[in-house]
Amino acid sequence: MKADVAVIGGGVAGTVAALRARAAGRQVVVLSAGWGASALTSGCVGLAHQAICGPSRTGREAVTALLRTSSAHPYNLVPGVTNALSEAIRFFRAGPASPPLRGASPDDLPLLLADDRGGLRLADLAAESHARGDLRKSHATIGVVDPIGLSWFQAHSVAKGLSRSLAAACSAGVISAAPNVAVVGLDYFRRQSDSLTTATDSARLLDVEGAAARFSAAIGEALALAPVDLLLFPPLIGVDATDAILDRIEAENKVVCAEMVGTSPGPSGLRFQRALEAMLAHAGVPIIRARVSAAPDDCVAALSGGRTRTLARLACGDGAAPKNVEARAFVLASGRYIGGGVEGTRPWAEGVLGFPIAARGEFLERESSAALTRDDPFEAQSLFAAGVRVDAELRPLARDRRPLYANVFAAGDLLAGHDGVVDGSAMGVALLTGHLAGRNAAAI
Amino acid sequence: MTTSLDLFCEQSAEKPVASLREQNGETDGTEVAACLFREPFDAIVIGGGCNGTGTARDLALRGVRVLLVEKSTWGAGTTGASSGMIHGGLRYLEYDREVTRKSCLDSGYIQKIASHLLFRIPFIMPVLRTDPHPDRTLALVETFFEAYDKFQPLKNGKPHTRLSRDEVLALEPGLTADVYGAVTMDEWGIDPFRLCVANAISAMESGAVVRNHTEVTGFIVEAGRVVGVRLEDTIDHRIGEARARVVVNTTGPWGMRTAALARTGAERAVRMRPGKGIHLVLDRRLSDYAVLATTLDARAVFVMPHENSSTIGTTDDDFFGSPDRIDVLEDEVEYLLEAVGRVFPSASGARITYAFAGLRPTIFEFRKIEDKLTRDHRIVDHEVAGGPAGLVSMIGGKLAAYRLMSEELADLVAEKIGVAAPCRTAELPLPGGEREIDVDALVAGRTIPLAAAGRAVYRHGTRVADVLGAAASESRVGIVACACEGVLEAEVRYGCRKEGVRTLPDLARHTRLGLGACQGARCAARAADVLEEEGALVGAPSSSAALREFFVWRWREMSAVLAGAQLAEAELWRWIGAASTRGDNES
Repeated sequence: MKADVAVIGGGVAGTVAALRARAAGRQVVVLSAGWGASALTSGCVGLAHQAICGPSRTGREAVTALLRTSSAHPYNLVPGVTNALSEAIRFFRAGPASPPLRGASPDDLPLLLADDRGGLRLADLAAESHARGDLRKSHATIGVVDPIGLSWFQAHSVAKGLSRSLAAACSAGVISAAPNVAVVGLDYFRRQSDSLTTATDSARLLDVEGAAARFSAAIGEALALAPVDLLLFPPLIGVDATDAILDRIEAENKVVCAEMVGTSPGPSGLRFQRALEAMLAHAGVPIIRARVSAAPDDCVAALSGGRTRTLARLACGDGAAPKNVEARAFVLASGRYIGGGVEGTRPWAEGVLGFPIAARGEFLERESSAALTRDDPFEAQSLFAAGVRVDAELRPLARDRRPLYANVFAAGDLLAGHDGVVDGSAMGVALLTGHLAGRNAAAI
Repeated sequence: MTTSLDLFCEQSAEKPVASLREQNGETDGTEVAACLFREPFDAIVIGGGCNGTGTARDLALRGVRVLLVEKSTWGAGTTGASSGMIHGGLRYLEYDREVTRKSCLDSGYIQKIASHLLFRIPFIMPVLRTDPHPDRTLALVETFFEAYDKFQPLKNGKPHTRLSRDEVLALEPGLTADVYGAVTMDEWGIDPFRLCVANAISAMESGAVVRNHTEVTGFIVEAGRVVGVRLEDTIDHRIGEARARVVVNTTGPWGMRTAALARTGAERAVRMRPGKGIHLVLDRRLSDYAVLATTLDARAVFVMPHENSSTIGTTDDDFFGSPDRIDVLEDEVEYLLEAVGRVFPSASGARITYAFAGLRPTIFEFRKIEDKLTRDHRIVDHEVAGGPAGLVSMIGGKLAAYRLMSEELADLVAEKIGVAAPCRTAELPLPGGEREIDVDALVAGRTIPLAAAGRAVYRHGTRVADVLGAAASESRVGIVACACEGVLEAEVRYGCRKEGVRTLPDLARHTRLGLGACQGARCAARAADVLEEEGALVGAPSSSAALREFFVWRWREMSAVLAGAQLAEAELWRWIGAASTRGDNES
């Protein structure tokens, strides 16, 4: 198989890279071993972490603040990073089949959303079903849906938590008034509940023909007892037809409806992943479902350094009948550990071409994982900021700190220097570096 | 409503006691004051491991008025970090025959009193073709097991069998193709936490006052005699005092520190040489058999099934640090994996979800390698060992003989306070162990998943009906709170109400919630909400804070062994944990 650009990884970074190269007129192919971290997210995009009750900052201001504190962050690779981010977001949202993400540019305040534990969440971009629940708009009464029969969602705890969170946001001046929070019992899942142990299982029920009408009617009955201005659901409004179901229940019940942001993997991530794939299909980028199984023989030997070379092909598929994929340029967007971009075995190495892995600004050899951790799992961990180092063109570096290949680029979680749990920038990095890597690959 | 402060002040062993939970009481978060239990106790037992809970139970059954205190929760120290085996001590047969005999004998008694908690583990000892003289080795191993067979009837164990290569591979196909033959033997496993919970509950129901999360911060010494203890609640930090005629130090590897609280040099009489042991926990139950392996330095280690996971253990190394912080080291992990990988290569396909470490409170001996240190125990009456009077300590010992050791210790205490009643722990079943429960009958006509019901019956025995009764409603009786390890939500509520669960780590130890393949990523947040609903989070600011404590605790046991597929799992686990607790970080 031949293409101009081969992208390894079908998550958000890989998709944006592929679309960008395609937009430059290149023939592009995506090699994906399976869904990775993107499908496990809430589908919301953050550019940089912000404290909910801290000063209100635009996405641009939050990125600037992050740059001040983290010199190793991939945002530092790009001069004028906030403009580049704006461009990447504009590009991502421009295509006719792009996921209908709301929010606007880094010059706006992020959306203020409720999560499914009753906490608050900031998102620079969010799916329509989440964005409708923007709490910066004023609401007198918010209803938290209690889907009777679904044991995985504790509406009363969530409502209590949300009430507490809103009061804190109000006293910090983030919102002008704290709405009342009520629990709205919804009798729809009761008889179907036995096997519904996850949000995704529950959501699939609503995609069934005729379900939306019955669901909407049940909501009507519930609201007759407890009228609210904004009705918040756990993330379960279908997997395939979410926005259509939402439109219908809003129109029939005259109330704003939205999903809370999931704190664990669920339907929102699946929808996001599917939207990415729809974008690729629409742009005419084929996805090959196969793991890259072999790198060219000479690349491991070359890792010690020396002359920069050109990568001609990769083999993918199972050992019996591997398929050669030839391309003029390659983009590695294979994620960190979840995606398999960084192998968990030692010595530390990147999973496809064996690039060295860096953490704390140094290349790793056989260090134990434990040596890269700290006691508090939610503090910055070198282990979860490990990845490949790249030059200003996003080309991964060998141990001599020079790019090994002139035509291989890296993007997303595979890049060293960012820990999304702490800096809140995983999606922003994926969009930005995917966009740039796609552009650079197209230029080869 | 009574507060725990009131309980500290007023509760005596004479008052009827409803439950551990009620003893823990409610917090008002403000009052901190010194106060006294009004009535003195006969005995105060410090330490909630198998020896402390076993001794407290033994004494309470003899009518002795007992206060039992534990600074964490039941079994959280050495007992919970053990291999969880009520075994005969095959390893000690060579060095310490008497320990083997005692263990086998007491194992038989423990089976009688806690039949619900014991499970048979058939062991396979493979001999490999790579052995220079496999025939001779097999014969030697068989001779060794023949000697052990003599002890097996004491614990209802089956005699060994010799298996050919084909036979052993048919039993366990995951073994290496290099296997030449094997010998089997028979041991018993137990959930060590449940054993301690059962003993603590039995003590309480026999009139003892039992408190977890209560640390002894000092002794009250009058005229050279220990007459009481100063106490602090480790969660809400309220303090109190209690007096007794005898104070019993069953704090295992903390024993020297505890004795030192008397400030009389008593710690010299309980000198230990603590031996650190680690275990690795795999994400799946690889086999129904335990497989023995030999390490590079010729020690026997094993991979053993436990509930839905497998456990690899163990090491034995001198330890010089604090018993409150025992880190698992990379070379210990590699040492175990190397040995197990040689005989059971399919184990390397599993994820190591976490590792735990503990300390054996072994008696001090000089110039011996760790494995040859005696596993026997010693009871120290400080009155005759250089003072002070009023304090007795126990060091050394084995989980498998905890009942016998507790009996000996209780005999001494009873003699000191002039109680003549005999020990009853060899016959009287532990709570739940009175008779067998038919799981099928239990779930008939109700929406309870059979697997989870089976686990509840294992952990609670005859008390399972009460456990199911703790469900929020009959329609929620079958709700599973932890899918990896089959824990019912009702069991979570029951733990809060009846077993003194006050934190998520308590709950995990009492029920295994959050200790399975996903390490709480799927269940811990919801469980924290249930604990809050039950009013169990005394002293914790919110369920988010309690949840955060759980993730930090799991991270400590996980981060030492992160490799391979578990790194991907941990990356996701951390995302979920951060998202579920973030609200709390920012407020």
